[in-house]
Amino acid sequence: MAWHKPNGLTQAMQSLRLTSAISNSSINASRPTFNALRTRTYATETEAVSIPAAAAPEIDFVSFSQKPARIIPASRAYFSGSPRFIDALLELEALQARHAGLPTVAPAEAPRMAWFKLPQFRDFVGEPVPNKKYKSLVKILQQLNRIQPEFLPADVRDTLNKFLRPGNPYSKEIVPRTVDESGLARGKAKRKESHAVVQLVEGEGEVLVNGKNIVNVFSRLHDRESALWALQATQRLDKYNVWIKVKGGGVTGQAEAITLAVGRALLMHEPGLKPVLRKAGVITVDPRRVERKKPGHVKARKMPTWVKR
Amino acid sequence: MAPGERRALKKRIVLSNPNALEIEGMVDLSAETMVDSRLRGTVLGLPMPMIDQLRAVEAFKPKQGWSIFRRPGTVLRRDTIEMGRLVEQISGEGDKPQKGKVAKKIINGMKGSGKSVHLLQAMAMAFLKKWVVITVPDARELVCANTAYTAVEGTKPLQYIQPNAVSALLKRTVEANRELLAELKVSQNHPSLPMLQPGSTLEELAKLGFADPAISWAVFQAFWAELTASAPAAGLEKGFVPRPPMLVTVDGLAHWMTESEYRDADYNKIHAHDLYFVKHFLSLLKEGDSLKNGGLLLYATSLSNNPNPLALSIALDRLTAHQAGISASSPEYPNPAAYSGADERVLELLKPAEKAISPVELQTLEGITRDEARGFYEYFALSGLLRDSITDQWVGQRWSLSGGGIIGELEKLGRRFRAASA
Amino acid sequence: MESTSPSGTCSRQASPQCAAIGLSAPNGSTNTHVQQKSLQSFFGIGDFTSSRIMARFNIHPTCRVGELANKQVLDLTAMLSEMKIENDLRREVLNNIKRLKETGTYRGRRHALGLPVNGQRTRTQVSITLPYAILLRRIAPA
Repeated sequence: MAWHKPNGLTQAMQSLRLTSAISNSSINASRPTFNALRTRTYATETEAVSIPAAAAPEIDFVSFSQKPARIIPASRAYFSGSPRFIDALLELEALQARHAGLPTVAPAEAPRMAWFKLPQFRDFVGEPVPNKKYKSLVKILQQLNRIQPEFLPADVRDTLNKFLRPGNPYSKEIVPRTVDESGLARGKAKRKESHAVVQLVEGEGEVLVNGKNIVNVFSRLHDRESALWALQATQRLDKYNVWIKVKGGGVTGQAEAITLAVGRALLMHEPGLKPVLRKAGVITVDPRRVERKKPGHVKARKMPTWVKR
Repeated sequence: MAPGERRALKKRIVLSNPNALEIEGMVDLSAETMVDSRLRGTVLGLPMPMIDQLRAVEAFKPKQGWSIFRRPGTVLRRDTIEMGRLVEQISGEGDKPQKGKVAKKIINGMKGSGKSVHLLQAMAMAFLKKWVVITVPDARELVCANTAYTAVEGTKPLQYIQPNAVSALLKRTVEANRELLAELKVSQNHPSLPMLQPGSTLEELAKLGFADPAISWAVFQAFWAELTASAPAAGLEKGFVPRPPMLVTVDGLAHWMTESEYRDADYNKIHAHDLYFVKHFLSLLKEGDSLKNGGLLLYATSLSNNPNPLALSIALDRLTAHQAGISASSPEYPNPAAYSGADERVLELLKPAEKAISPVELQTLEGITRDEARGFYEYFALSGLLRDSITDQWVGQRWSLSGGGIIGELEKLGRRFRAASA
Repeated sequence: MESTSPSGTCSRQASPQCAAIGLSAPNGSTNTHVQQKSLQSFFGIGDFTSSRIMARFNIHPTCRVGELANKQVLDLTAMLSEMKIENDLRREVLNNIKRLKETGTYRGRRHALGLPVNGQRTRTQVSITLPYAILLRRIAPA
C-alpha cells in the first residue's frame, strides 16, 4: 500500500493523463504536434503564433481497463487484523446458511471429529486467535458436522476436513482392558497424593492391603467402607478377593484411591455394572489436588493480614 | 468429683442392658454345651451363679461390650470348642482322657480378635469343671511401679517381691474359688508360716496372706505348694483330697518381656524377670510339668498399650517357625538382627524346646467364620439390637468389612448399624 | 548439725523428727505422695534427687506416705539428715553470693544489683531477671 498516499487522487489523474497520451502517441506517431509538445518552452511571454493543439480524444470510461489506482486486498477482512480467521468463519457461516435445510442427527450420533486444538489452529491460520473466538468457530464446525452423513454436501465435507488435526486420533479403537488368563483384573487409581494398585480375583471376600489386614490399615470403619464401596454398592463384597498395594498420601486419600481402583478392576470383570458404579460414584475421577503455595501468600491463596503501617 | 470416682467410672463393668430383649431358650455354657460342635456359632450365656466368680478374677474388661446385651454371653467358636475338649481331657473326661496333662499356650492375634474373651471362656470352663483358677488380669500392673516392692536379700541378681500385688492375687483367688478351697486341707509342712493352724483349709491359709502383705509371698509359696501337691506330707494324711487341675491365665504378656518401671538402689531399671511374682508365673512356661495335677496355662498378648518388645516378637516368630517344622539351624529360622539388642533373657525363656513333654504352643486367634458370624448377628437381632433381616450376603459384607471376621470389629459394626436403624 | 541451728525453729529443718514431719507434709494426710509432695517440699530436693532417694529405699514412685513401712521412714529421715538441704543449703548459697560480693567480682556486683549474673542479655527481655528476686526471697533463711 505504499502508493496509497494523500495525494493519490492527483497522482491517479496524472497517470491517467500520461497513459492516455502514450496510447495516443502510439496511434498517431507522425503527428506534427508531437514535436511541438515536446519542445515546449517555458517562456513567460505568450507566443504570438500558436498552432492550435489537437483536442484529446474523449475518454471512454466504459472500456476503461488498466492498472487500478491502488492494490485492492484479496480478502474483505484484510484490514481486520485476523483476515484468515474471519474468512474461515465467513465461509463456514455461508455454508451453514446455504445448507440450513439439511436434516441433522443428534450431537451424540454425529461422527467424532478431532478439530484443531487452539495452538494448532493458530499455526494453521498464522494469526493470534483468541480462545473465545475459536470456540465460536468450533461451534459452527460441530453444527455442520451434525448434518446427516448421507446428505453431507461435498463442499461441506472438504471444508470440515480442512479443520481436522493431522493424524486422526479417533481412528484407533480403544480396546477395553480385560481380565487376564488367570482371572485377575488390575486397576490403578490416584487420589490426592495416594496411588493404589488393585488386583481383583473371584473369591470369597478376603481383603489384603499392603499384605496386612484391612482393619489394621484403616482403623476407621468409614475408610474401610469407602475403600470397598465399589464392591459393597454392587453387593459383590463376598464374590471377590482383593489384593491391594497403596502408597503415598494419608488415610482418606489411600482409601479413596482404592475405591477408584477397585471400581476400575470390577469393570473389567463385569462391564455391565458401569451404570451402577457410575451412580455409586466410584468410577468418577476426583482430579483435585492440593493447590501449591505461592510466594507472598500465607497458604495457596491466603494473604498475610493487612497492617496499616 | 470425689477422689477415685473417675477411676472407678473408667473401670466400671456393666454386664447387663435392661433395654435389650431377653432371649427365649438361650443355652447356657455348661460341661455338655462347651464341647458340642452342633452349637458352634451360637451365643451361649454365662451361667448366672458364675458371674460373681468371673468378676472376682477380673475376667471382664471395661470395653468388651457386655453392656449392650441383656446378660453376658460368648460365641462358641472353633477355638472355644477345641479348648473345651482340652479342658475335658485334662479333667480326665471325654473321649481321650489325659488326666494330669499340662497344656501351655501363648494366645496371640489381632486387636479385637477375642484373646481376652478366650481367656474368659477358659475361666468359665474351669469353674464348670471345678478347677482352681488363678489369673493375672493385667500384666502391666505388676511392672508399672504402682505397687510396693522390696528387695530379697542374698539373691543375685537382686530379686524383688511385690507384697501388695501378691496379696491382691490371693484375695482374687480365694474369692473366686472359695467353695473349692474351703474343702482342701493343708497337707504340707510350712516352717515359714508358724502362725498356720494345723488342719486349716487352703482358704484360711490364703487369708493369712491378705491380712498381712509382709508375709504374703511366703503364703503364696505355701499356697502354690499345696495346690501342686500330689501327695500329703508325712503326718498330715488326714483328710487329704487330691488337688484339682489349675487354670493360670495372664493377660498382656508383653509387659513382662521387658524392663519394668521399678528402679533398683542404683536407679537402674529392674528387669521384669527379676520380680518374683512375674518370675513365678513365667517359670511355669518352662519345660516339665509345672502344674503337678495338670492344668492349662493361657498367656495372652494384648495390643492395647503394648510395649512391643523386640525379643517377644522374635520369640513368637520362633515358636511359629518351630510349629511349622523349621529347625533352629535353618536359615529361615527367625533370629534377631545384629546389634538389635534383643533381650536374651526373653529369647532364652521362650526358646522352643526340641523334645518337650508339654511344649509351649503359640495359638493365633483368627477371625471367626461366616457361619459363626451369622450366629453372632442373629443374637444381636434376637436381642433387638438389629432390625435388618440377616442374610448370608448381609453377613458376608460385614465379615469382609471387619477384616475377615475379627469379632471385635463385628461387634462394633453390629452396634453401629443398631444406631443407624434405630 | 541441725540441733545447733541458730534459727531455733525446726518447722522445715532436716532433723530426723522434723523430716518425719516433713514426710507427712503439707497437711498431715497419709494420702500424700511421698515423692511429689513430701520429699520435694524440701528446699534442695527436686525431681531428680527425690526419684533417686526413692529408688534407693525401694519405694515405688506412686507410694503414699501412709504406705511407708517404719523402716523406710527411718531410712528416709536418716538420709535426709545427712543431706544438705533446707537452711543449710540456703546458708551455703547465700555464703557463696556473699563471697562473690566481698571479693569484688563482676558476678558479685551483678548479685548486688539484682541483675542477671551469667551474662544474659539485659537490653531486652528484662522480665527474665524477675525470677532472680523470687529466688533470693526463696533462699533467704526461713
